[in-house]
Amino acid sequence: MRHLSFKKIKIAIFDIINNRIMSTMKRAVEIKSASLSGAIVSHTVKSHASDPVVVKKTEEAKAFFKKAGFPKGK
Amino acid sequence: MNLPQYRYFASDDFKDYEFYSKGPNGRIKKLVVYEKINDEPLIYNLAFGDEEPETGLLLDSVKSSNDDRDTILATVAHTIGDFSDHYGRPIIHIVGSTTVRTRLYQMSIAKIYDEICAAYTVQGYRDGAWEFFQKNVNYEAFVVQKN
Repeated sequence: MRHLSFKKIKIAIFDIINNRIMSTMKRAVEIKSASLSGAIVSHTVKSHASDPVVVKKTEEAKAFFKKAGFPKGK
Repeated sequence: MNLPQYRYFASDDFKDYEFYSKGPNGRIKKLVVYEKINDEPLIYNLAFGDEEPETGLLLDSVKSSNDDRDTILATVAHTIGDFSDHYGRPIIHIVGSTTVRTRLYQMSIAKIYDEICAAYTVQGYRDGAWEFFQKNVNYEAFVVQKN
């Protein structure tokens, strides 16, 4: 009985360690794949698309290209 | 690019970026925002400035004087790389909020031009026409495109 319990404990500890290693590896892969060219993806970075300055700059840029025409592409 | 840069963070859609400038005036949150302005050719506008601490809104007229202009501009340049990789390498329009700022951008582009010209095509607008970027020439606006 005591031997069986010890075996069960050993298996449980192995499972815990294995799960931790796997989840750490999974997290590392996720971070790496989200970090293309150096940016760290963060859910706390919010959108500023509707900020008055951004809206104004976008409209100004549209007006500028209407006047200046488009540059040559690569 | 070997210039020092700040660690920067991107939103899930890679359109918004933030980082902290550090210097004599403390820690200042900087924002870089890309917004589409045309479909064909695909052009996005780059908006850059400080985050107003109370409202969280982007302000492009603040002078933070944190003695780290090159590090800031190198970080902004890196966001162009990230954004381009996620949005099909569009043309990115860059213009300062004032003529002086546009001139500062020009000086910064000139400083790193030799390093980036193999990977990016830079054009400037002057006298009513677009031309490929040349150092020591004053431009009204710039566009950058990853090759």
